[in-house]
Amino acid sequence: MATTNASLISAERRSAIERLMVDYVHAIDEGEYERWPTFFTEDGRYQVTGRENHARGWVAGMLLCDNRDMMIDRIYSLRQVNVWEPHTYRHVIGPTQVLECGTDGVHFVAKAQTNYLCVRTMHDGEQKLFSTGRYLDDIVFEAGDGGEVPRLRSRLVIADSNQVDTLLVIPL
Amino acid sequence: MAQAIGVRPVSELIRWPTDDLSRIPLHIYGDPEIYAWEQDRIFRGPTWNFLSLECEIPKPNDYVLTKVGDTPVIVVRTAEGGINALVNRCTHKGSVLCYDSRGEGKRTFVCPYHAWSFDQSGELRGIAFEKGVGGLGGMPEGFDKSKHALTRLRVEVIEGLVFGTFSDATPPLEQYLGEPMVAHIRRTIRGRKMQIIGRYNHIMPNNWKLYIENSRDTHHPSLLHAFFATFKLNRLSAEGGIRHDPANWHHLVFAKRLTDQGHEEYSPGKLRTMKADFGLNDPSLIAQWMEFDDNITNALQSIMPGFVLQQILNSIGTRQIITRGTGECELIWTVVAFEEDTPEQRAIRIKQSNLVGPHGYISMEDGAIGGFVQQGIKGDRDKLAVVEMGGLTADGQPTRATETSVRGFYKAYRELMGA
Repeated sequence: MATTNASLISAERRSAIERLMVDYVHAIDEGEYERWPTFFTEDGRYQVTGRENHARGWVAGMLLCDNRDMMIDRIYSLRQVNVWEPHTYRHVIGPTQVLECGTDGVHFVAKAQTNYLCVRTMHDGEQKLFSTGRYLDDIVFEAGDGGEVPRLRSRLVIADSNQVDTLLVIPL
Repeated sequence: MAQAIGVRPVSELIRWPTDDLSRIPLHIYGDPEIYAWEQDRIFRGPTWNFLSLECEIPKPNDYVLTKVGDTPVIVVRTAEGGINALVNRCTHKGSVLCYDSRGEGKRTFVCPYHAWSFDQSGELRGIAFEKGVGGLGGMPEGFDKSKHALTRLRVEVIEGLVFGTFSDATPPLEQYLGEPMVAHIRRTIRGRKMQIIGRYNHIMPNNWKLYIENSRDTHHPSLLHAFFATFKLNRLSAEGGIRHDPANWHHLVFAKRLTDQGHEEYSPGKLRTMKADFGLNDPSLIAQWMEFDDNITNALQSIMPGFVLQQILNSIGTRQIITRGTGECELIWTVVAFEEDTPEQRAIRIKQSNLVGPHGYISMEDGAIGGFVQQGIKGDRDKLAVVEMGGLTADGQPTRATETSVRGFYKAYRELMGA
């Protein structure tokens, strides 16, 4: 991307990115999983990996989707196909740091990172710190209703721990 | 004896209700005394345990940490290019010598506590202040350093898979594995140079044996895993079978996806797992290339006690079980590519990592189901599991509608535990 100083991003765009971050975790935490793929561009990529995998360049992370259809498949499978003990997430996210911004020739684009903490609550009430880490995002401002809408072209979830307790079925 | 000190004899702890292999007493999944014996007689007994991939320690003096059961182990590539495995416990006070999961340039292992130092063979080479200070203190005259070496495992390597054993009684690795197992390992790796592409540390809420049973349970895949059944990836109506070593300790279960002719058991409405309305929007996930001449598309090879070599379509990898007390275990998944892969083949392997690990469309359910069993048996330690499908013995069978491989595990388990 043609980059400009990330601090020069407009207040409107910065706040649109922040709304995207908040809306994303609320959709997941409230069980509105069907909304999850809509935060991505059609060719959007989503991948969860562990810090060690990331550091060592081990690219076969967990829960890899390289387009929106794969995300829709994941959610359908979560709802209808897979066997898992019911649970929900609660994410707490930190402030978003815009690392780079500019244009890809067509759209305004930005690279950003956001810390998260995710607590898992089981159907019987048991709670556990499930994952902490950061989102490393490529965001593109696509034309949408009455203006531009920021979407994720890529979200890499870098979990601090490589351990996963029992299973990872709901996206982080 | 290392762990089972002060523990009652195995014969008092486990009563097998039948001479055949068709019943498993449920209390063996939760008893700390039995767990202690398992450490001694299985993991530190006459078995070969998977330690690491050779490609993790490519250069002289590289090391990685691993575990055999509960015992921490250092695997080091020696300066001469061999591989040594040493218990990661200083013979002085017992501290671990290495506490970073991997490293390089490691010619000596120096304890962080009092600086006892050991060479790559585990020999004690140096003691700080051995002669004291100013003629005072120090180790007594006559203290024999050669009697305080690290415990060293025997090591053997097959196709880049490094195994170790604590026991002098374990036969050589290839003899332990038996010809059919050796042949399948060679068929899967084929001398190709491995490259790790991912690792998942999967914490399972169940006793380690429940996962190993699951990996050998040949009739659960299309019943538990709707993904397998719906996409005809691993149904009992496909050509497949079970192979085992002469002692029935190790098992290989395989299926050939393209031979699936169907069966009335899989007709709509009969099984939960046959989802007629489930189609993938992006079927590229299950696109594969025929990597092996035998047309096997799904193969799980389970080596006693806790190792699995996996081929799910083109996802090749290893699974290593690490014990974590009676009610929990860790399964370390390592998925690999090979140096000779084309970029397209590598991309397929990466994409198919969606099928395995704690997030896997299929294997996430194995994490769940072990926990379900561990929960279900809590109040009924005196009850038995029934494993009678396909008979009472552990012989090889031309069908996967059987529990013969689970019985095989308990044949080996009973022989090793001596009860």
